[in-house]
Amino acid sequence: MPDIKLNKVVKKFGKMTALKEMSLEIKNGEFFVLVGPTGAGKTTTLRVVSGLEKIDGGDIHLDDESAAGMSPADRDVAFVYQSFSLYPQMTVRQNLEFPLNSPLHKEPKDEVKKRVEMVAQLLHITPLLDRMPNALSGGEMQRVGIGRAIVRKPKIFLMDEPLSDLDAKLREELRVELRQIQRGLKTTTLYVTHDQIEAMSMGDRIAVLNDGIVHQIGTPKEVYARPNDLFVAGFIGNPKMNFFECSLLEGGNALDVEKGLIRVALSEKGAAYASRIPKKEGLILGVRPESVKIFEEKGKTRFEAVILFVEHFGSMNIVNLKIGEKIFKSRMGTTYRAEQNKRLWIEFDEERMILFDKETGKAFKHN
Amino acid sequence: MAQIARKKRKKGAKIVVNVIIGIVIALVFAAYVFPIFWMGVSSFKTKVQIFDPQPKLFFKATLNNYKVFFGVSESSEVGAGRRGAATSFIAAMLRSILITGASTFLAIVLGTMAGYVLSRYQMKAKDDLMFFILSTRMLPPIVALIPIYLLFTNMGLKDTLAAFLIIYTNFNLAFSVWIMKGFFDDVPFSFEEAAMCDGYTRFRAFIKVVLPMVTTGLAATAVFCGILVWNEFLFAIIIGTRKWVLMPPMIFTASYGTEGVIWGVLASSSIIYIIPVVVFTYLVRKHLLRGVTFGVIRG
Amino acid sequence: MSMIRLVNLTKRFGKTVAVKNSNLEIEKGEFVVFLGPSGCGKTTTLRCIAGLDNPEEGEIYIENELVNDLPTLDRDVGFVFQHYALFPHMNVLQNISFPLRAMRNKKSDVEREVKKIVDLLRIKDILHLRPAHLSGGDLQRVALARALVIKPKVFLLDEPLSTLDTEFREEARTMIKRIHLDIGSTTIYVTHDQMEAMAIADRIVTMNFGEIQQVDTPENIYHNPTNMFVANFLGSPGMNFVDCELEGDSSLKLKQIGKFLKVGRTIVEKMKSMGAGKSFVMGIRPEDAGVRVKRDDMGFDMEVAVVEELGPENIVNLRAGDQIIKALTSPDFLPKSGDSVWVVPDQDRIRIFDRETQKEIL
Repeated sequence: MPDIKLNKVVKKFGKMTALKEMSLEIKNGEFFVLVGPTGAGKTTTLRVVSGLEKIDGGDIHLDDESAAGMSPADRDVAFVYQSFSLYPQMTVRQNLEFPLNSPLHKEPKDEVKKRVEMVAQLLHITPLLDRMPNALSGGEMQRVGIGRAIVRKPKIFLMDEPLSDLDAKLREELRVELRQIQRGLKTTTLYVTHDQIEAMSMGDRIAVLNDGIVHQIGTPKEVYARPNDLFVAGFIGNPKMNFFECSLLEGGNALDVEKGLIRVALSEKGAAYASRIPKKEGLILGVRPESVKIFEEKGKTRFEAVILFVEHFGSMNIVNLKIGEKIFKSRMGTTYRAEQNKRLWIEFDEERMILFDKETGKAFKHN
Repeated sequence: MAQIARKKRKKGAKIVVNVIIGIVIALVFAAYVFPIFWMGVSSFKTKVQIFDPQPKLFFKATLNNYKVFFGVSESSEVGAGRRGAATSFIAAMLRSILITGASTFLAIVLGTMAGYVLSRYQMKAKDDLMFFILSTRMLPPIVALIPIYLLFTNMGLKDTLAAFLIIYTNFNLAFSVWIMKGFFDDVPFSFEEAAMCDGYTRFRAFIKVVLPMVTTGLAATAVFCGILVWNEFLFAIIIGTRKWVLMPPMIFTASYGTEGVIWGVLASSSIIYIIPVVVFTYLVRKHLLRGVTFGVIRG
Repeated sequence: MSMIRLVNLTKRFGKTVAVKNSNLEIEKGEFVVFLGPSGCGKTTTLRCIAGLDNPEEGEIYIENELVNDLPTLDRDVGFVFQHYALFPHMNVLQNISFPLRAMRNKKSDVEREVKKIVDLLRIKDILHLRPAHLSGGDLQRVALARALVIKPKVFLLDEPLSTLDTEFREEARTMIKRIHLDIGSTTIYVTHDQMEAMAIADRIVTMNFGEIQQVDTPENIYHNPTNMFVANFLGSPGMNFVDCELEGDSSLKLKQIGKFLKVGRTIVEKMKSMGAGKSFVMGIRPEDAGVRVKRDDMGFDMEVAVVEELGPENIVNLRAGDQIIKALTSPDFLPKSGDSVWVVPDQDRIRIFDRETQKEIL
């Protein structure tokens, strides 16, 4: 299985630059997820890797071999689309056989039959083999789509938001299944999605894209816990990270948050982190909802806030809190109960706080 | 909501409206079907019965008009109406079938390929090109009649198969290209892309994947173009003077006898002429109703 | 008097029964969510209420008026389509004014109502643009505006967020709820996303295969599901199900896992009272699975298959043979594949279902 290297790839559509000097390296056998909002350039990246689009700058290497001039067929890639691309005039079985009968592959008949049946079993679609695509549900169609990509045993899987059109429940099931299948096949996979939960759950490593630029590459955990900038911090994580305007107080042992509304005292460790930051003003404090702790009693490092309302999501409760004009969220467990307008004491988990430069958006990392 | 106006209809009004609509539809249907029905009935009548001022529902039917059509018997009225030696109804019909089939086939093949290219590829003046193609049908054919006649005569194409193929295919291309392009536009490009990734060339992907999906377009084009050529009279009568007499001119002239129009033969030959078209359309009806992606792509 | 009432509503498409004998009452000002998988009948029911589809059997009442034979425009409903259905050849202002102008209102009235809705939805800046030039979020606001401009009694939304990126959905859904509260409308919202439903619904109507399963507040539906479908559909991941039978007077034998779980007397007694020869299913939600490393005889042990790290929490997938149990844990809980961990379910949260009827028995 090859690794994929993109080096400063540029792609333009007329006047618009979709990919701006994008560099990525996807390791052999990796499940690599490109995540970002619509229009970020994720699909374009996929198409450029496949060879369906030509690039305007930079280069792409597959296993250290330049891919320039290689057709999609030569690159041995298989695409899985978001909107099902099953050939409607063929049965499921014929759809699965189709890639193997291409001029490039021309597998012998019994080999074709064997592979189709193996893939059907792997994806639990054996009873559907003789049906027509219009008799399948959305989830079933997508399984066949995945099957058609697998049956060729390609070197690279390129998946363009394959689960986006499915029901939420189906998405949960299929994402685990898909990942397990890929683990079994060990095929290098480039997977595109706008859903950060999919990225977090499925990726060995993920790349966060916006406007044709890669903001960060890393394991899901790294990207979650140590985001490079405001965009990544805000995009990854549901509910979103809370952002507060802040500045460092004289003496360096406390943060002045939201222009005097909140005063966050820093421990020794925290103060050391803050002291390493070159700017003292114009900062943004980022605290994820699960790092916003709620207490009934007063405390040295705590400040007061009032409950606006609580959203119950079953396994978690999101408490919307208000202080002054600022609204922020805290994530509590399933048993948490509280009434509107109750006054409570809030503390931020210091180890998980991150300070950002308001102007550049860059994060100041803990060491 | 006093400020916002609402339209309220009485419940009884709905029934009355439906009845009126039903009557109108029935009338329109009758208006279309009745002439054909009358023609069919007349084809079994003698001249006397046809001119009966009080047409009877039950009459003594005769097959004589059909016998004349098949050349089995001669009508006493037929005379100078027949043109040349190589004319019989059956021969004319076969020629019509040949020319309609050939020109429709050409229009479909050329139109499909052109439509595919126009649908898939970017080109600078695509809209202008499309308009130009359509504009060939904006000219009333009769205006081009004399120039075409002179052109073909000078080129030695008068009364030849080639002339018919050229002119009829040309008529049909505009529709063929426009209809097929529309259908190809409805087929997402991802279908060919997936096939190309699998190793199929663009052409094979076109044949094996895309073409089967646009059979509705092919059927619609075939029926539309076929009917156009099948019924074409003007150019047929001008170009096909001696050898290539097609059915529409044939029916027209051979039904004119020494004592005026031979209504019975006119009726019988017309009825027989309708049959192939009806049969063909019936055979392809499934494709006409299908839709492009078999209902697979939703939303 | 209820705002909307459905009585024995049945709708067929050819041989398929899309909606089976539905009975429902919705109060004025309520925000009700129809929740279920694709094809469960939620959209069809919505369309019947709007008058876009006609039911074969049953009655629909809006404010106690039988509306079965009333065309859509007379029912006083505002409908937001999944893909918005905005008129592409008109700009935003024309799209929004369209319903009022179609009903032949005075120009001054049209202008006044349009201005109100434009202010409410904050779309003043895009009034002159056409749908083709709008972002997903803007398209949605315009669709909402067009539905609301007629000040409908009932506000119907068909999966309005499905075309938006996940990051915009929270904002959009909060906006819809806010508008509902501001206007005081009665709203029915259709979705297949249970998180959405939990977040905004006053009551949730769960549906499956054309039948209404359970109608209740989000909390009640989540904590007291009446059957296995509801129990699994709500919650991400859904409830875990393990075939079980009574063992003695104080334990459940967990089939397939081959282990035993101690349970309280209420459960034992209820199971006994169901009669002999019944098969049962134990249900426990991932967050109540109580997974830990240390041995605890109140629970049972299982092998870790894979751990999904989602950021704020982990999903620990446990396997025994074909049986999989998912557990939600804090992000610090990181066993390795193949490790053995202990599952100690929260006794108060254990649910027992009759395997045949799929109904909850406690």
